[in-house]
Amino acid sequence: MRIGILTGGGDVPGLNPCIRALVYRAIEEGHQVVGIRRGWEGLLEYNPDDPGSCAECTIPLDKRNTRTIDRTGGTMLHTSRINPASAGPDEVPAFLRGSGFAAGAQQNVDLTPHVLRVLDGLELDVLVPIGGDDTLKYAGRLYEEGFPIIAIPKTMDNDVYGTDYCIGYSTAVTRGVQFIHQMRTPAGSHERLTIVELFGRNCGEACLTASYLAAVDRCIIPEVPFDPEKLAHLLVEDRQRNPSHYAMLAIADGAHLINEIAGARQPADIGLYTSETIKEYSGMDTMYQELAYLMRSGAPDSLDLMVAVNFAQLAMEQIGRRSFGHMTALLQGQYTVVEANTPIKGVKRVDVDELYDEENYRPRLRAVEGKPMFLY
Amino acid sequence: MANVQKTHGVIGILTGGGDVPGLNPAIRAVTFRALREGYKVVGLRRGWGGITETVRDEKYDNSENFQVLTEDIVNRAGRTGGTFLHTSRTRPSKVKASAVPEHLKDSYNAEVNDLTPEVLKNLEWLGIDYLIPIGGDDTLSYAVRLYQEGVKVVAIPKTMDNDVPGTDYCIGFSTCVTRTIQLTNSLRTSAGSHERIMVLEVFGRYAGFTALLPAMAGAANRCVIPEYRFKIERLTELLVDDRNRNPSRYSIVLVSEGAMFEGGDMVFQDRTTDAYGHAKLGGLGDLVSASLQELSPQYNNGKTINIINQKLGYMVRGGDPDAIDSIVPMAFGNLALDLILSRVHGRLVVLKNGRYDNMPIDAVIGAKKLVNVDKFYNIDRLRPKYESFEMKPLFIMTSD
Repeated sequence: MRIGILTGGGDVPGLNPCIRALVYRAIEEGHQVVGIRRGWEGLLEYNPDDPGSCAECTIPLDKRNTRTIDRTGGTMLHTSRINPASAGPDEVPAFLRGSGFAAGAQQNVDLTPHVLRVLDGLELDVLVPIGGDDTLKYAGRLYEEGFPIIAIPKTMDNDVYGTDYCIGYSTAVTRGVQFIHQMRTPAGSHERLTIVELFGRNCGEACLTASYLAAVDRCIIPEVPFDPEKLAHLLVEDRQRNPSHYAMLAIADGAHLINEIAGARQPADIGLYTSETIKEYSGMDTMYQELAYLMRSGAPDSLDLMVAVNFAQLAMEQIGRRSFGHMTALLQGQYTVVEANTPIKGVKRVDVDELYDEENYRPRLRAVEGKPMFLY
Repeated sequence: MANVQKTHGVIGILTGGGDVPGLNPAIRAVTFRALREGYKVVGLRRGWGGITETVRDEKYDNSENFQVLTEDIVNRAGRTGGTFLHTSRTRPSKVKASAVPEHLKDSYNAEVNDLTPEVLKNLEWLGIDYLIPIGGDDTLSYAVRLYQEGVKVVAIPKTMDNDVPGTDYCIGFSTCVTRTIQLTNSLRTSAGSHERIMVLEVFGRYAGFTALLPAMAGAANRCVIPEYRFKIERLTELLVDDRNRNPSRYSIVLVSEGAMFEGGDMVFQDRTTDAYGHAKLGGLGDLVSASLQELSPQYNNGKTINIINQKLGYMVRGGDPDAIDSIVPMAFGNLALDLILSRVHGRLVVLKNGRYDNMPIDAVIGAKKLVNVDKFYNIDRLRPKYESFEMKPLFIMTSD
């Protein structure tokens, strides 16, 4: 068989080991592997009539060119956030303009017919997209169009609906904990109220879990709007109780103020806003640090290697049986597969009732018994 | 043995200014050696804050202002980053009315007060014979004042910016360079995956060593520093070219927070200033990122290049000290004790041309130590110069 692989959305540690494990097993079982570069963009920009674009958009993968990639984070195939089902006018490749898809388009166009033709032209028997919510929603679309798909979920936010775990999540939490602890020496030396901002645009899971494990004083997630004045009071109390005279707040960059404070507009930079606001309410100096890209920096931790490699094996098991139309998943602690269009069917967010104390702005676990290892 | 019986006197120690990894090892080194030589050691808390706010009353609880140090206390702290004595930017010679301690408010009610008389009385009340302040040039400039008032001072330089005049090396600088290299390298995969230009802002108000040395060590394609006003167009041109020649299609620039565009001004995140009158910086990374993205099409066949914009900020000075910042504090602490044992004071312990030494303490109020642009920075290529390293000390670009 000819197997296509692509990676889409934000990079996370674990993509490269997943690619390598797929390639190694595929080659050993006598298949061919084509890497598609830059996520869905590689299929959009692929012009079967232009050999230059073919070389720019695809790369044959073998043991030789994937041998050492598992030691690093990120993705050797590069990535993008383009959605072929809704390509903006400036995203439509020049060679497609005026060919029926996008003639004089002012609004977004669905370039799926072109994508299906390219997949056909590449003579792929199955496509393995590795991506987050957005990337895999388009994979679900291709599945519904009848193309053989085995999807693999990744995202540092762990917010793909249909699986309890996504590649990259563990490393993001590990880095979160590591950098929060690293922040403690400046915070303690200066006795400050300290605000650390973590990535988490819609889903607060990485922020919440890192907060729980790093034992921060307070934690703000996108799922629960907060009152900065109340938060400032809590932090001042935390600081007083701490023999080292500091308090630590973790906040997701997608956090919201309660409506009474925000009015019609939420601040653009919630971490900096919160830092400045807490300074005003408390009359104390604050220290502000955004972790941002540092959360997905570096090599994958052992859990992300474990899941990346096993999702690859699981995908190859399905391919070996010609059982297509799945997404690899972890459910209740076990490796399994779900239907490839599952990410389209729902939204995954923090289970606030089970894991968060809305009154005191911090993680709260009501019952561990029966929960999977990562609590989800 | 008998050495604990000898009481040569009391040594006071304090840490001021920004925290760096290496302060706790320095406190440990001083305390160990001093106790063994028969001195008592008192840790003054919060930089110059504790000794300013000390209440001269045996019954008053001064535990927030000073503490007697033992081997037990300093041994545990000695391996960690930051400073367990805490730190502040308090400057006793210029205290705003609102910051005057409660019990002194009657005697000091001007808008700005010089509390030095209280500091001197407090030092005497505590019986401190020698004072070892560990700090940057601001903290140590007040140590010079006390020296002029007759206090026996031996100063130890620290700062992650490495900008204290008189010494090639300040405690904290090496860990900062180590972390910058390490974090930059670990962010490469994100930059490469997305084929972007990565802008990393690092602390460095007036001196560019924190951007220059990591760039010299290969952590970045380009660096911009406060000592040279760069052209943003030139930086864009270079970074786009670096990116397009890289098989993984990314490039990296390290930006000192205090750097400036040609014709521009320092960028301020907000307008507050600290007690030494410095406006707080931060935000040049955002401005450079926005400008690079906007200008990139001019140098990239009309196509915009996206940016990864990350402030390394406190992450380069958080956590434990590296090897150099474990070794140098040990040496500086013992050098300070060597001086005290030979009844020498009014000195700054230093590294000079690769060797440990000491010099008059008023060296710290000399001209700021800055990057020598002519010798070490290539203003056309916006990167370090790599020639004439022979006979230079280990930290090549940091000596005069």
